Amino acid sequence: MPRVTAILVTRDGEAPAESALAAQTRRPEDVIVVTAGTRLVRSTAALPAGSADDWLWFLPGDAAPDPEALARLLHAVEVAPSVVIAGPKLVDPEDRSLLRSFGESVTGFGATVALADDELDQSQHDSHDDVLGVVLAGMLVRRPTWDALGGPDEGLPTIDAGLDLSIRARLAGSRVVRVPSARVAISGGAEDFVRRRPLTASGRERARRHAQLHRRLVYAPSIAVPLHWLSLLPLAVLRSLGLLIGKRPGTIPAQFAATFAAIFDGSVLPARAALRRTRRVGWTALASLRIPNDVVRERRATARDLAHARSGAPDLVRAGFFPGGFAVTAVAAVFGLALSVHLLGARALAGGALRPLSATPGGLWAQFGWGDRDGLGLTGPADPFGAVVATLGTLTPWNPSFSLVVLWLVAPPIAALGAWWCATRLSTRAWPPVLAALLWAIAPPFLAALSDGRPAAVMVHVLLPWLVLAVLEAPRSWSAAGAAGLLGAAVAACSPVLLPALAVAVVVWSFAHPRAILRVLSILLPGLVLGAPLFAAQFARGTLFGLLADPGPVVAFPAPSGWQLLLGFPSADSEGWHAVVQSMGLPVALGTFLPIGALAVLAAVVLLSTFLPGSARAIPATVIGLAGLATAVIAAHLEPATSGASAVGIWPGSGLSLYWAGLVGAAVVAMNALGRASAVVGLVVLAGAAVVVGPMVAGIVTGGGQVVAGDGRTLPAIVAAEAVADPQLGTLVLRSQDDGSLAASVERGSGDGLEDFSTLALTRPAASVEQSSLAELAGNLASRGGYNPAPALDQFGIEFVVLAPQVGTDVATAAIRDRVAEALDAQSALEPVGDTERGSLWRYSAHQPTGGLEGPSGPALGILAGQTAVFVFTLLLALPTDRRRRRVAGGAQAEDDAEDAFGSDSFETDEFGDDRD
Amino acid sequence: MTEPLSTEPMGTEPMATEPTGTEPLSSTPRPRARRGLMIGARIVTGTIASGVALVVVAAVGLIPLPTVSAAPRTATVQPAAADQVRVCPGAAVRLGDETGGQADSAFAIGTPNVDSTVVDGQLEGASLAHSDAGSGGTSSAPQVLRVATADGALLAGAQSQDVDAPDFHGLTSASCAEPSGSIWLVGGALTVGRTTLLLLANPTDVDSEVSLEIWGEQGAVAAPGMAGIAVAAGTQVVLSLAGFAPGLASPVVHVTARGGRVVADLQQSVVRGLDAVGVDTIGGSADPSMSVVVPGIRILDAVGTARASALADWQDVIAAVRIAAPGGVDATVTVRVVPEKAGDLGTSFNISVPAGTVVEMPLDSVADSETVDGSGGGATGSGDSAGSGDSAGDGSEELRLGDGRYTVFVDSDQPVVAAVRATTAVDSASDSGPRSTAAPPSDLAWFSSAPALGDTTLIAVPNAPEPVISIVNPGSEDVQAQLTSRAGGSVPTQLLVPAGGTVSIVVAPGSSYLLTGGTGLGVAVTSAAPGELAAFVVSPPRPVSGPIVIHTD
Repeated sequence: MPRVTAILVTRDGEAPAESALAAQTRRPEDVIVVTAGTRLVRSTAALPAGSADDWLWFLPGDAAPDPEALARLLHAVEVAPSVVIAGPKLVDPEDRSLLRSFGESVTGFGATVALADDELDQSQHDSHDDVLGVVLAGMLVRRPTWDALGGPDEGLPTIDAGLDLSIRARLAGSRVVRVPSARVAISGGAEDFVRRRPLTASGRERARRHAQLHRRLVYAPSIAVPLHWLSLLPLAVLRSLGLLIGKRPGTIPAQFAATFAAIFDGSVLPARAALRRTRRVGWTALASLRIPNDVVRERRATARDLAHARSGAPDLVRAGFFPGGFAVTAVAAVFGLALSVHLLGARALAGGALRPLSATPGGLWAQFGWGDRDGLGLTGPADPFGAVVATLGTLTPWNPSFSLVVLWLVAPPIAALGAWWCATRLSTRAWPPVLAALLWAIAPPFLAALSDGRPAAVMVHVLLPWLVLAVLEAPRSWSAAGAAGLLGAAVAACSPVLLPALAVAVVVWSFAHPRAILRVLSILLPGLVLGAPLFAAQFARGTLFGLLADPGPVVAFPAPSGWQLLLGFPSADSEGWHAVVQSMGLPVALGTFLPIGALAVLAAVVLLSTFLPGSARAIPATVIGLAGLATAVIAAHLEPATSGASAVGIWPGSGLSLYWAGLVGAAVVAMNALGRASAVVGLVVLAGAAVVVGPMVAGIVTGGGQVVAGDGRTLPAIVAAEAVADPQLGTLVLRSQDDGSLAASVERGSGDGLEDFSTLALTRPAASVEQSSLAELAGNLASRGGYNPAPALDQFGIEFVVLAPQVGTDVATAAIRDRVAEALDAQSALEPVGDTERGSLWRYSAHQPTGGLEGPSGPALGILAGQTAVFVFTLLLALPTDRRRRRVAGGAQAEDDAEDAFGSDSFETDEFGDDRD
Repeated sequence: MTEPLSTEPMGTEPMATEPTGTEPLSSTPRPRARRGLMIGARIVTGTIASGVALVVVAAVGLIPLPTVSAAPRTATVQPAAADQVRVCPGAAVRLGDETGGQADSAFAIGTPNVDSTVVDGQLEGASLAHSDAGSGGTSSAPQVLRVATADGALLAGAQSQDVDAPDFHGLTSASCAEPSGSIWLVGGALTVGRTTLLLLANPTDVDSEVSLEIWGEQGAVAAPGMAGIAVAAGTQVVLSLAGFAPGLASPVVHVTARGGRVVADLQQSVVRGLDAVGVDTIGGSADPSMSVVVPGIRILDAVGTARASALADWQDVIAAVRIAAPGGVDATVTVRVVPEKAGDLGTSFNISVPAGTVVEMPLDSVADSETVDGSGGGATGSGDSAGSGDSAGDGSEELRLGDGRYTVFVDSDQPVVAAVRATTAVDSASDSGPRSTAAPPSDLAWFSSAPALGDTTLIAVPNAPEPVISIVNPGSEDVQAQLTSRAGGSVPTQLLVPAGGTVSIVVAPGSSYLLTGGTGLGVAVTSAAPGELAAFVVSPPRPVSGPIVIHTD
């Protein structure tokens, strides 16, 4: 007759299970109540020594075993003497047909697999009673085995304690069974057994991983233990990357905590000793009880499907990509081709703020980080824009400059596609996104940027709809948050002046989603990390104003009037209306009022949208538009960078892109609410916008824009040829200014590419010592006199002097240019090389090539490494790994939920995968 | 803009709620009253939002905003001054040796006297190392005068040479000029018997590339070789103008140098028949200007000259003004010939100079029958002739300029350059004998137009006979200037140069003077003796390169 001692583990001292035990048809002989946290070995050690037929039955204090549970467990062990451990079916107390735990096993790699996990009991597991292990809760274990095995492993306080005990029992030659007919209801998880408090989610994650690592170290052959130990940390890193891609960044700390716990796990050696002592059979005896790999894969797939099935409501029917999205992208592609047809065949672009890029992707990336910023020894961080340029240039690694040609060609379709996609978040109908895409593709600031050669502004306009889309999705998707982080960093890098508006919008959005506040706020992280070194440098210099400066070459533009900004024109001469009006002999004022009239329809629709159903989406869109307008107005009145004699304003186009985005967003909401009338109204809005940009489009198509096909050089060809052998050779570039002064700068190698410009240098409040020396050199080279330029030329490593060609017919500029040319001709240290289309060239033939610059310092590399880590982190997070669940349907409207606002079902759809718990 | 949102009822507010949060309204039918309330709320929020939007739009469109700008990085650089350099043209040069051989080569004739003077500095003189005339390094070569840069340092030099060689006879003097990148040379002739050579000296250590523009009576001359003339550093190049424009009667040359600056002079020699009757060196003239002044013109032996003009090939001994309009527009020019001495007769006439051409008019032209007398100019003269009785001309009313010093003012509506050629010939029949057909001793001189001087000018007087410093005031206000001899212990001479008038001072050969307070004045140094005439104008130091504003990017 077996003798059973029930051990009840209670958290609060009360053990309702005691009464349940009393109701057992086969009552345990003894009942011991122990407090959670007490080591079970200690509680059993206090028991009087028992016979071979003594059994211990471990139960949570609040367990509710069926009346026959113990009897059936005992029956199972009595018929098979080799069985030393038996586990009941652990079920949910509310619903006893819901399995909590019913046996455990391990995969080929040793990961724990619950054989039944929160599934309905349909007797599907009842046929196999031999299992590798059972959990501690509810376990019936033969007392001598318990004593011989020494109880649970001390390194496994909760999770896997029962599994490990079972495995050791099996290795000792015994059997472990689960008993389908014995049911015990437990509340809470089986892994919380013997714990004082239930594990938190992250704690469970950590404990699970730690248990696995602990068992790995214990079970491994002695010779493999050091290898396993050494692999712990690398594995943790790899697993973290995997978790990032799997959109579970929150569990990464638990990974590392578990790994470090395993690295310094002192209980491994005693556990190994205990295992060696009790082991009777080889591991092969257990092989049949492990889960084969194909089954593991199958179970994982099933689990994924289950997770998807559980998450959220079914997708809303949205406008499908075909035909609307496809058509609008195709139209935009044709439009882009028409705008840039004169650039076809170009290998690089020139004009406006366009410059060629470094010849190799390596050169592009080399300038990023900490380094020489002005060719004169100003060391500092590169502009974040450099990373954007480098990324762009790397897309066409055979000729990075070509990437700008590609950008000019594909910008309209990509921008249109982004706007279309983004608008499907605001409207369930087919037409409004199409309208949004068309309006976005002909946005005045976009066309002005294409026409005036503003690569940063073009990038902003292309990326903005994707950013808005990602931000809208971010509260529910790590993937979207990661993508938003990258896009936001790129947009802010291209146009720092947009950062305040964007940051405020993200913060407001995060407060609107308190449950995902950190996830939404994390959008700002990559941008802040990217800009932090520049911020620190500007802050240390006391020129925070300079942070707002546009990256890239400083190119002046005629300041726009307030009305032009309202129309979306970032520069006074980009609109073309005044020229049209003048050529037709009409009053000049019409040049202002005609486009205003044409755009008034759009303005009216935006205002109307704030009254229509959906105004809770339209009003934020309008607010964003006003923020963009304010940004543009402020930008137009700030001149943080200087070029030669003049301070140059911030290009207002990127602010106007945001402004236009708000207008388009509000219009989309209005279209969604207008029903059948939307087609007519939308067409009128589109026609009005098309009229506004008509002169500008005509100007671009007829080649009137500033952008032309370039040859990939900024300096005369001979300089580029020399720079191949001497990449640090300096070229003094002199440009005559309108006010009769002279601008001087030094370019290294084959000339400054787009990535070489630094706002840190261009917003410098006062000339550095080197610049003063350079000014003296330039001033004397520009004058006849007794100055010996050789020492200064040697100091700066200058081999060439370029006098930029005369631009325009300004008399003062021509006079100063003549003076400089004459003086340079008379300079005995220089020999004239000749006049090129990039300017007149002189050569200092005594130039001695200097060695390369010293590499970046350790701290600088550290900063770079930190930035890289954050971006790799974000990139992995942004990779869309979840199965797409978007349901594509025709253009029909699914349901009229126009009354719902941002938080409604219309935002349920998730392109990035849904990570909600 | 968050207020409108917060006034919205629940159904439209979930901007601030989680999508899966409590949202029973979307699934349950709304009561009618509730719907009405929401429409009302939408009207309120819409009105507020639209109002704000309109206010912002109006503000952006109408309110001007200040602009905040960063200051450009500016440095004003005062260029380091260079040594002052003057280059004298060197000895007279002939093409071909005395026997007529080696016609392609230039040879120096004799050695000129060089007088130089310096204020506040150590003069360094050297000969130009190389010359086409084979005189490189000798005292016949162009002399390079140099003084180290210092405050107040002044440098001046002049050379003179009394040439007497086969085919070369006459007095020539020239200023030692400062190298320049742009030099206007007015003078010379390429007709039969007249030889004009272009002397280009490059004293710098940078090779120079010289381009020529030549105008003549028929307009601009285009010939091969006028551009890209290499003048190596430290070299004098001698070119014959006839190589570019053979037969040209009135050349005007503009020399532009790229690279090293040069000093350019023309050297004209005249052979009438077989008689060498004149050599002159023509220095740089004033740049094209609407108002040109030629001071110090000396008419000497007017009677003899007039008589000589009757001889064959002596017609060009009549003093004449040469005017070129190098621009693209025809110039209408007024020439005033003003005698220095009150009571002497002057004249005034208008001529038209077609664009790009050179016009030469005798100084005694009376195109509009207007004559001028006395210093001060502008007054209409009486019309009676102060000239000699006997005349080679045909009209008895014809004006004849008498002996004396004259100033020619050329006023134009377009920029012009001008110079005056005067010739003197000893009156071989002064004792009223029969007219001689033999060549009288004669010489010619080109009087260049004088550029306006600065406050202080150093004047070197050549060692030539009877030198005179003529100081003209082309301005409209009298100028009080001081002329101080550089010889020890001399007292400054106070000079009042009336507006439009000229003052001349007879000075000692080889002396030097400092002219102070002479802003705007023009100075010519002339010398004359029977059958000998020479002149040059004094040029101010070329403006040193002024301060320049540099912006470092």
